[in-house]
Amino acid sequence: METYNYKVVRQFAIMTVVWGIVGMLVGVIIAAQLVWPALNFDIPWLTFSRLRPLHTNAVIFAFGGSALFATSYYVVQRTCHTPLFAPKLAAFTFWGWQAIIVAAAITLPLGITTSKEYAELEWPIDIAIAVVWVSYAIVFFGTIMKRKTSHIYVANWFYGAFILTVALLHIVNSAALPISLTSWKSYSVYSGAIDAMVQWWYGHNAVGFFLTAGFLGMMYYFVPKQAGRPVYSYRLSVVHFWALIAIYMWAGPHHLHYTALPDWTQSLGMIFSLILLAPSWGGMINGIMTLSGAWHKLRDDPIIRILIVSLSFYGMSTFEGPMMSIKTVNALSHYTDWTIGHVHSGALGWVAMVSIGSMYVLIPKLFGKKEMYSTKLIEAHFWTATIGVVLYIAAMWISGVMQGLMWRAVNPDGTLTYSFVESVEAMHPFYFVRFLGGVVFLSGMLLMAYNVWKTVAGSQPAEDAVPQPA
Amino acid sequence: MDATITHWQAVVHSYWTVVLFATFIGIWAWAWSDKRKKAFDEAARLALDDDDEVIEATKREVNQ
Repeated sequence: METYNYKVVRQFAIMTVVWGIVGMLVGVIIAAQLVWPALNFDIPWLTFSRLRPLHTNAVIFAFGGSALFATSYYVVQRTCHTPLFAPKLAAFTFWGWQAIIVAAAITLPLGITTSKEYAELEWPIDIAIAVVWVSYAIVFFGTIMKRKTSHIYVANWFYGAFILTVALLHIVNSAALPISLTSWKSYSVYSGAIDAMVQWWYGHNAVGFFLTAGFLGMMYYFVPKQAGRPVYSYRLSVVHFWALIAIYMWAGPHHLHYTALPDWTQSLGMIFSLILLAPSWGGMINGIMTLSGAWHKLRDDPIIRILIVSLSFYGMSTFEGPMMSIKTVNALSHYTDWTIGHVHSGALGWVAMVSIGSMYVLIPKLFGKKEMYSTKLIEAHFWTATIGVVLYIAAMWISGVMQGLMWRAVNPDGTLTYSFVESVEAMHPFYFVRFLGGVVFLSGMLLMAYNVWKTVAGSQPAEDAVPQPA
Repeated sequence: MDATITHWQAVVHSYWTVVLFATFIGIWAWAWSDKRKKAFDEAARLALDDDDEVIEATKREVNQ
């Protein structure tokens, strides 16, 4: 009997929970440092500047990345009715990715960094990422090529776009010259404003393809699955897929408003960011409406509730993003906590919650169980996650808008109304609320870890047969 | 390197924009065409139809 390859899926699924806790814990620590600066203990490795990239890399690439590997390997097999292509290479992607995460966790606190946001890892690790990522592409597209179904399911289109584009983004943006082969230090091959543009072409497409397309792939499998309903409009999924991937590519310059970047490039970035609202909401509407005719499941099933709330946060943050890309709005919001709030409404509300919901569907299936050990704990996780995000983003909105207004306030004689430190002082209470939101969100992840532990303990790995063509 | 855009580059850019826009409308028309409806309705169920219970149930129906 031919069975699906679940081993690598199980490994990545468990590591999703582990890295989620680690990454969010580092986030809570640096949030606490902003409230109580003495918490860095004057130790260089524990300073905010070194732990912050560790937090972002851990949550995006370790937690989010593991969730994407796990679900894409599962979904591509199940919807193509064939086991993974090149299973040894798939196992290599697991160990390779974990090794890269460990390398990041060692080098970033040591202060080894390119200083490019979300691309901080230095050149030897960048080469390792490229090797693992190309292997991932071979496994994924190899599986698509040997599929037994005639159609390629929409989730696989999104996963495929995510894998291809991240390879392109990573390789182009990480092009750098090391100062010597025995040194970690390298310099970007691009210079000046071009370096900034390449960096934010990478940065915003990391949002668009890593944090959006990949997770939409997850959504298009696990929402219909858990709701027991087909995709609301398959046609809409086709149109919003092509619109999304074509338009995201051009939105990067909105990170560089009012900089040395040519003005027309900034305006182009703003226009494309505004257009992005349409394909983004296409995905959100399609996901939420998949529940139509089965709305009662929102009441009865906490997993469905987590998935639908994640889509609501996706809709909110993809409305907020285009608004913030408008140059006059950006003049207020840029460099303030509003940006941090926006990112976390996407990262915690959308990316983390859709991953958490999908893991609650996936993990029992991988370990031969009908459902998770405790539905009550999933319910508790839903509430801690939701309350945590709301505390976090509300605090950052207020703090950010206040910061922006204080920085731009001018007296009649042209002098600044507030000194910088006065704005820092005004932010202090909101930093505490943000810390609290983070703690509440993290506590939900601990409930999840316990629930997963009880589900998995003593279970037999599931061995699902590949359907044979009739 | 001269960064100014020449007349012909501007012409190509303009037509290219129109080509891309037409392609997008084309994808839209294709997705909403009647002959795609049946295939898309089946595709929309792909996440559901991979369940062992569903497959078993389908087999039972076929056998009866």
